[in-house]
Amino acid sequence: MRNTALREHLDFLVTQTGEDEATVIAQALQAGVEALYQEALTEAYLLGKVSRDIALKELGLERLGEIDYQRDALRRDFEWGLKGA
Amino acid sequence: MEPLVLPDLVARELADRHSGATSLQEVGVKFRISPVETSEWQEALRTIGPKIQPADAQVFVLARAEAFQSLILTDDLALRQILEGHGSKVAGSVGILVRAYASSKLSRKDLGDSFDALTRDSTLHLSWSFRSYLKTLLRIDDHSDYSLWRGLHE
Repeated sequence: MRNTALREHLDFLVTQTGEDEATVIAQALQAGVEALYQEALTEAYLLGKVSRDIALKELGLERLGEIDYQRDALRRDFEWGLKGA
Repeated sequence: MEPLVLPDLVARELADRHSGATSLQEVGVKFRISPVETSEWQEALRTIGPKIQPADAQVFVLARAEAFQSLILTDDLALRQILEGHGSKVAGSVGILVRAYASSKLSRKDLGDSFDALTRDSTLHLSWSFRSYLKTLLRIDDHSDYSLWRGLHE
């Protein structure tokens, strides 16, 4: 994201929420770290580096079900592609 | 090979993304556009619910007309899940790219680059966690041992 857009979005958030800028930045940092954590955890789960139990606890049943389905769909795509050779 | 069948709303979406009839013709893809009546795809939307878009509902209508026996190409996971639930064979962009690689139409490097482009530039919305996963599958296949890949994943 360009810096000007980031500045505009930050100004909008401050105006819209009525919070001071430092509070908004702290909330953004928390939300950003959480999003990155979930993505990194998903990657670790897909690569077999964390157990299903941990992924289930951290991501929840619904999200883990979506991840499993997308992983299996990619596997099937891969297999279909190789069979066509 | 049977021509690719595009519902009219899908054809319109492709044209809006500058990937319309001309682009398909340029790469030698045989296709025909099959209009789907509004009443038909709206009925499908009502039946399936709000999980899919009108263009996807048209795909569902055409698949149903073929008794779900035709191969369906889609990257929409919600549509894919519904179609597979009816017994359809479904493939997405990843499958098509792997097939091109396995048929020697793409090099391994081009395949890897295409996976990157899928996550970066396309509407597939593959997150970087799944891009890593895809590259893992690719590395396994790099040994050119399909049976090994099957053994690991089945």
